[in-house]
Amino acid sequence: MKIVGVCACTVGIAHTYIAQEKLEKAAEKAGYDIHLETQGTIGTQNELTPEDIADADIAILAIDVKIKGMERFDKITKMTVPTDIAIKSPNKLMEKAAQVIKQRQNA
Amino acid sequence: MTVVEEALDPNAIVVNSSAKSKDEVLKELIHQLALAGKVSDEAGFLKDVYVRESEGVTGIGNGVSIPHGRSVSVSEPAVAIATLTTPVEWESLDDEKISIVILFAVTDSTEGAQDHLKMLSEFAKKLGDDDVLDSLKAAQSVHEVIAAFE
Repeated sequence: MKIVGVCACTVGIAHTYIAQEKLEKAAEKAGYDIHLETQGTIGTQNELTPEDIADADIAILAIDVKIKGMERFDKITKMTVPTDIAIKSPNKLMEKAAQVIKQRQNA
Repeated sequence: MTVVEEALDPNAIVVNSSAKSKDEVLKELIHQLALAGKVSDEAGFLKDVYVRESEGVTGIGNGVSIPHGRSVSVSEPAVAIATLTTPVEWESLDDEKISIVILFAVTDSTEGAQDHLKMLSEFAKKLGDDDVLDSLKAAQSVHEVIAAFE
């Protein structure tokens, strides 16, 4: 499974990057490929290309604020959660993502 | 210098603080940051930290909280850490009391502060690693607190 996503929080200095690390660790544990862009005080890092997004099975947006380039995810299955959820339950979020993809494939 | 050495001023690390409340530990850490020359107005910064507290929970679970504020009272981005002898009440994702407080001080303007802010974000990323948090909780000296991140 290939996941893309964006992390962004209100101040843009702490939760964004903790969420990123938690999700990367959880994806690694589940054996999924993940690429997360961060939008914080220091700007955008690890930016997703259109190809990254087109190749992905699902997008996880762990965001507390409006993000730049939201329209990039218009054509992809996506889950949007607050950064708190990504920090508190990253493994559950991975399970949920797998379920969502499975349901879509069966539909 | 590593990210950790750069981000962590030993003077802004308090091991086994006896602070009895959220307010006490915030004031203690802000005072340390003021002594280290990172915060110009302690009361002003405290107010901005509480503004962020009012916007959402800063306890990230596992007994750790990450209060932070963007403030004109911060002269240079910095981080301060306290380990507490007695856990204190704090709004957190898992409703556990807090025994480790990591305070991020962020400048109001990013101008001229990009390098420091990048360093803080790299430092924050380490807090997403449970192994780091476990080492931090076991730390009994300033040296061990710094080592927890390396």
